[in-house]
Amino acid sequence: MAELTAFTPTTKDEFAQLAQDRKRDFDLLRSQGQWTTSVYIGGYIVEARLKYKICERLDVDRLPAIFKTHSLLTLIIYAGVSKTLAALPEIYKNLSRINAVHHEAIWRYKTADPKDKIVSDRMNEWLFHHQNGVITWLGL
Amino acid sequence: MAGTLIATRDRVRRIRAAVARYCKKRLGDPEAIIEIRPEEEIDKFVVVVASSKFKNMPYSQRQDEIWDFLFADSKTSKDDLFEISRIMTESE
Repeated sequence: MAELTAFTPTTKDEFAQLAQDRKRDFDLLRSQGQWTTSVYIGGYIVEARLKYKICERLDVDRLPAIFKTHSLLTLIIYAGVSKTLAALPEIYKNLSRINAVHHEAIWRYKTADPKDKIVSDRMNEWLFHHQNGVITWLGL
Repeated sequence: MAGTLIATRDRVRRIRAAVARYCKKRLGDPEAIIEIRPEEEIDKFVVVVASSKFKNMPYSQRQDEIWDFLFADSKTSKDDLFEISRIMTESE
């Protein structure tokens, strides 16, 4: 049962920093025309931010190991924002779109393709749209 | 228990019907293959749609189109849509 109270080595503050670092990577990759990798990185901004929010909500310095998951919808529940999200269909749509990319192994192993600019631009909107972006909603 | 199973089966049927409406009306492919399976870890559903019509459609456009259609579709319950964790598309 000890695993229920185990913690990851990553701290709350590191998750906050990680979200900002991945955002910087996302922007940098896009500015360099590295569209394919930017799509792959995008979901990690949300994942790191949600893990930070879980730590914040539980008032713990490190993420409990039971939350070691890449499932954004699972993290949404434990970050305590699922009810709020249920009243925000436009943001839910964008989160599900990001979640789909985040789950698909194809983006991990895909070689650079200039045609992925379209997807990268959309990922940018799903994340940072001034009203309905997932990160706009979660904060950074 | 039986009530829960029936409710789940009904929800899957409604989600499938909604996605089928997208495939027929927007995608123009009434023969598209639709699979609905439980998501890992969480009590939600993954929708997988396979259609040759996706072949020349960018990945992001597929994601945008399906979700926008479903939320705009008056026949589809929003509660059902919040049970979909992600939609996967295949250009088979």
